Amino acid sequence: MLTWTTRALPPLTAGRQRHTGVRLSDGRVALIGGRAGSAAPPSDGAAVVSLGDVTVLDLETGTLASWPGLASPREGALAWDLEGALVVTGGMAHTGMEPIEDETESYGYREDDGAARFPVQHESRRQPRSWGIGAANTRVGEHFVLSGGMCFDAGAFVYFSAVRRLDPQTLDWIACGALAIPRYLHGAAAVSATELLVTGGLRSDDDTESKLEELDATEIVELGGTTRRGPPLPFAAAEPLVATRRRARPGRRGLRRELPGSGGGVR
Amino acid sequence: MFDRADGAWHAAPDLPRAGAGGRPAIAIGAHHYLFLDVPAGWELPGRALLLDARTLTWSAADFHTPEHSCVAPLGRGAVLVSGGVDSEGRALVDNALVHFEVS
Repeated sequence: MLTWTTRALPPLTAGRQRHTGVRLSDGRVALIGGRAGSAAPPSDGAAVVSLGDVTVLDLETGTLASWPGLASPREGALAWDLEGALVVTGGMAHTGMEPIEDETESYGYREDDGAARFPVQHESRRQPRSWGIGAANTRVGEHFVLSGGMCFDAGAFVYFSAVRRLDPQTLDWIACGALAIPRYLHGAAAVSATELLVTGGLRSDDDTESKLEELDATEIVELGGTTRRGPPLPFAAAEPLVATRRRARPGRRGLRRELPGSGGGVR
Repeated sequence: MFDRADGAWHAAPDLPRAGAGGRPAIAIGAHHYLFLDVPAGWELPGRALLLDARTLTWSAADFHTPEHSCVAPLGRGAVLVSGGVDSEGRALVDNALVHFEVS
């Protein structure tokens, strides 16, 4: 049985959503990018600004510190701490209305007398059309592994199946497997030192996302080996979803499910 | 999501909450992983699913986080839940430390 306890920590200085948190090797937590303000998708594209700042929360002292920001502001990024270097990749930026096309940024950091010297180095690699947004990052054994994802390219949605591991020295992503079902916004966990379990997520059978499918299929990817079916999620597969062409309102997802025989009633 | 084909914003799956996952799995002990806010249907609340990596079996729990919040695994079953939006779509400032255990 799962149990949990909750303890309040010092709040952020301003409301924030879709940011990324990663535990640093010294125990602090870096909060990276995200979006300021309300949840509403913009009606004119001008209200939403993706953030590039990095805030570090010290869980012991309850203090917040600002670090120099990302070269490319983004929300929904993926991040790893490589014991002295913070690696950030993927996500999307609203200011440019474009996904961050798989740009990987790396910042070295160190501490002198409690003051962050950050970054002490910055490197960037781009691997366009490789994972886009909604990929999953997972530690599998000694490897930092990235799976799936989606990007919007030339008017079409492209879903990815590749599984890659990060070479921390070169910041290159090295192919080490493939999902049977391309997907994004999925979950992933290491079920052994060499195996990645991928669960759920979204996909569409066409490149317009007019019908999105919530996946309950799971897969187990052996790094450098084969992919096999994993245990299904403990509930039935959802019906295909139909994206409305309405603009979403705050607090609503703006999507509806077509009810059987009803011609598309709204739940 | 901005559609360059017609130059307009459309309702679409959004980061990072929508879909089944989009959140890091949380390791609890040596054999369990917790997936937060896994939807069972598009407009249904997500549910927390616990995976036993030894048997590859699932169990569900009634734990939720704010939509579009940041979940950062801290190790040993602990996570930081930061920000997100409330039911009215207002951005949140809250940070909380949650510690999970499996008995």
